[in-house]
Amino acid sequence: MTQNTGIEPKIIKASYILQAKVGTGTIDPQKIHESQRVIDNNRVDFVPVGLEFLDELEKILKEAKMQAIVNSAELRERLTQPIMQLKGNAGMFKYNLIGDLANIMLSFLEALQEVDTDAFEIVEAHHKTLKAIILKRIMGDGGPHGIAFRNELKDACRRYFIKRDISIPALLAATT
Amino acid sequence: MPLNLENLSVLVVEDTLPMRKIIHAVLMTLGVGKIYNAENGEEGYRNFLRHNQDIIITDWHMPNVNGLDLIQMIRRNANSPNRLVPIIMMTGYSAFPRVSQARDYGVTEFLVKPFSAEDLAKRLAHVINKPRDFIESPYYFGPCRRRKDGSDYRGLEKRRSRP
Repeated sequence: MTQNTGIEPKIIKASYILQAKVGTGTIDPQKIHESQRVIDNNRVDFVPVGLEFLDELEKILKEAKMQAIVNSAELRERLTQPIMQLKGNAGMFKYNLIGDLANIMLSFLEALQEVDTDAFEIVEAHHKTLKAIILKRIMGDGGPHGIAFRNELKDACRRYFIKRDISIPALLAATT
Repeated sequence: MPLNLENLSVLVVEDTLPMRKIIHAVLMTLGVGKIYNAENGEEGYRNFLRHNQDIIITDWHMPNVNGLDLIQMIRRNANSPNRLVPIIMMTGYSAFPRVSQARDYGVTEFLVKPFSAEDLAKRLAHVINKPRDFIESPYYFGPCRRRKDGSDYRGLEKRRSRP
């Protein structure tokens, strides 16, 4: 229950100090274009970074199996972190399929009420798939196999929600 | 008129080295004059105390002090050199409850990873062109969270309420 404290909030007027320093307007489109090329042409090897996130995910899965994490909300939060990191980072370093699959799994976890056995198995299977993709260094969208991977994962998540009569998150609703 | 970012200083707080490097390279190419890096919130806050940068870009999950804790330190600590500094939270999360949580900690803008150069440029331009009023209440200190004209609002007065 929210309680009215009766305390008036103080409003501090916006500071225009940055405008005094750099002016107002837009950023030069040519510079934005060049910056995008910096992102597109980066030569970072994502594999060691990706494997680090996957190792973290594996560690959490093992701890959960050994009953070291019993609180379902804590387990969901901990599983979410390495998956969110994969989603956020992979796409920047040309591993779009990894990023897309992690995004599907992130939507799944964010919509979960609890991590039950079925949800746990989906995450576990997902971990194996991601590890195989990274170890095989499958970059880009993965072509026809990539589409199949995405649809299989979405189907598994959708079946989970339908079985429990939980509304399906938008990202998981449509087939690729 | 294009912004002259040469006079701008930005602090990037990000624990994943390749991501930190790429953000640094993008900011440099956009023309940002001074770019500082830190690999977690603790180091980031120390850096901010020393250099008082104009804008802070921070990741969410980091070891020791994470992005949310860093925001609290910047917005609440008595020794913070600028409690009103614009903070852009850059993270893989995009679900509404996460965005809302970051907003309640006092984040200025939210940028979802993976991002494009245009996404980042837009956020930078936005915090420069449209600075927001700040609200100070016993339960919140940060940019005004009302982005729409709320003159016809008839709901709960949240600013006066205990959460």
